[in-house]
Amino acid sequence: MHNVLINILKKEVKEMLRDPKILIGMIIVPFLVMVLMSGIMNFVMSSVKEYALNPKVLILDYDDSLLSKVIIDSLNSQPGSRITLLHDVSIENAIQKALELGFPIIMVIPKGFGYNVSMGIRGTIEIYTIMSTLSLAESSASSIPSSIIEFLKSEIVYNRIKTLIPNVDPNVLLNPIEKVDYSIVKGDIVKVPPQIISSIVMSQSIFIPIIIMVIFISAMQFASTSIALEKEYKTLETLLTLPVSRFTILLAKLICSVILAILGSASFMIAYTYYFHSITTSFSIPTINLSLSDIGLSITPLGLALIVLTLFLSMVSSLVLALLVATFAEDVRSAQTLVGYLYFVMIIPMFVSIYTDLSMLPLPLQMVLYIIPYTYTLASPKAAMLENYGFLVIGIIYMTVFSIIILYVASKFFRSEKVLTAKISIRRFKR
Amino acid sequence: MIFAVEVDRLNKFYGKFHALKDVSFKVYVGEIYGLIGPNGAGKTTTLRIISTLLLPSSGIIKVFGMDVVNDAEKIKGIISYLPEEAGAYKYLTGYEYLHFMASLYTNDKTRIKEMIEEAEVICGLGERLKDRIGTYSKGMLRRLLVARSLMIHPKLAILDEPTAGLDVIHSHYIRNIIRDYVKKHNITVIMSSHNMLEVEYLCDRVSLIHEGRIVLEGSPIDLKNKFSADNLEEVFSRVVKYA
Repeated sequence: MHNVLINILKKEVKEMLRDPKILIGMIIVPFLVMVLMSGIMNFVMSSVKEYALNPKVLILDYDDSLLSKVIIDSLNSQPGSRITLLHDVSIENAIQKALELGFPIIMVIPKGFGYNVSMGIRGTIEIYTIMSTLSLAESSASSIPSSIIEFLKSEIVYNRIKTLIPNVDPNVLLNPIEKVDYSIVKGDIVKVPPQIISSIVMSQSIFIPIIIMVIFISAMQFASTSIALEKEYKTLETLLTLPVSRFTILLAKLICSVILAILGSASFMIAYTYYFHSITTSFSIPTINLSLSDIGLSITPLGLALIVLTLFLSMVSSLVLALLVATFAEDVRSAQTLVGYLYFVMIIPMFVSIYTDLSMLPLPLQMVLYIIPYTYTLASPKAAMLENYGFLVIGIIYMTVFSIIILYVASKFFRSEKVLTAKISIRRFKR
Repeated sequence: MIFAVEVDRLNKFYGKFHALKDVSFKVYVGEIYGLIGPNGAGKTTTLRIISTLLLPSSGIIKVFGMDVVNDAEKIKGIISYLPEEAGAYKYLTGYEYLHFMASLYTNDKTRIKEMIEEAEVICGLGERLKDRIGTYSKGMLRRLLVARSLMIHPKLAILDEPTAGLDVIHSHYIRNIIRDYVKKHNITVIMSSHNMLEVEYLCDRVSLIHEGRIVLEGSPIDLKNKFSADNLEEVFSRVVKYA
């Protein structure tokens, strides 16, 4: 039995690795897509940076005041900035000039701007952004001129307050109430707003299971196809008359699908890590740099082991389910259609987990969701962060029992003649 | 006396459809036994039941004294079944396919090697065995599958339309292999065929199945004499006409 299982498994793996559709579709393409995406994102981010940090501004200064000079000097002092100054041309001509120079930003300082501001009347500065490609990079091109104006605005306000009310701190006057956000995580106080905690938890606990679901779907497709192909290639009848138990045949197919899913996940995870790394290094947002341990939600080695086991078992149970469904199917197309129905079931807990917590749902709905093994995959990272190991262990036990029962049902069905009679019923007159 | 196959009052229903009606026959050890009959007569169903793929609705079917329902696992170790429209794994080479099949019957590497060498001789595919099965023609595939069925020296080979859909050259090759090889190794064969010439050439005895019943049984010569016919085709048409 042991040797036979290994022999069938070897054959399954050989077939799998030699099938270009599987190798390309499940291992190479996802990897390349991720690498390509990170390349594109890197390019996008560097062009956004290029536009944002090296402003190219055409300034149309009708005012020629001290204040307009301050603005021009501030922009000029920015490293990497390129400024072209015009005085006596129309806006239309300035736009023409900017297009010729390839400058995306035109800043217009109207006549009387400096005078108005000094007299306590609101001054206006116009910023035109040339959107020739409608890209993210173009929209970020005005960020430095805008921030210089913002800075100037606050300087003017502070100076005015200081002049008018010398004994008052302008900061306090402008912000008389300060709100400080704290979150209490696992009984500890963390000085981080709850929104940031939930976004970190979301990004770390939802995104990866979603990627894994994509891998699961492909592996389920493969598992069901491997059964259906035996029918379509007319090899099943021969296989069933060989001195091999039908349970062994199913088990070999299951193990092969698990290997494929692991290979696919590994390829995807390597590419994803590369992608994530390149995004975070080129796009440094402070909140993303906060790790789970910074907010008191680090996962212990035990938690991690339980997550991995949960992922593995949910993968096994999904594949077993796909195998069971495929034994009912007549050919590859119907197997894939039947497995397609399972995806809908998998998507339900995913949506629920994104928008709410399972424990907040009414009990009957919770019970329905907990029947679906994939629910545990989604809930496991959160449970591990909150050290809710009991939940993880229950999930693991449930999925083990679920997998064994489904595998038993599948092999029971596989052992009966029904596995062939679906075909027979269609070819009734061809005995 | 132990028969290779004993079929006693076999009935098979597919839902309400009565596919086999009280079918009974015996196959002696070492003989080539043919089931002949028109499409839908019940030949494939009978062979599938003998090869443990399908369950009988009623009746007793024994292979070398073992019951097809209760001793299915034991029977699988001594039979070799070649379905009519069998395929093979297209991403494996001919050699890998034969090795895979042989390894399911034994762990002994020497025996596996012997089986493959034997299959090489039976199929006569030579160097093409190193190529992937996906590149084989229909005739080559059938030769490979016949070799797979016979290389293990089964006690009973169940061959469903062994030459169906093949050209004259491949059919001739396979017929000769079956005749020479099974006699040499004392393999019992039960086969089905539409081709009366083939049956006459190969089979020691034949059964004519029509609408799920056996309507005639005997050796080709006896049957021809009985109906004063030149060949089995004539016997066949006369019997079917009056059946």
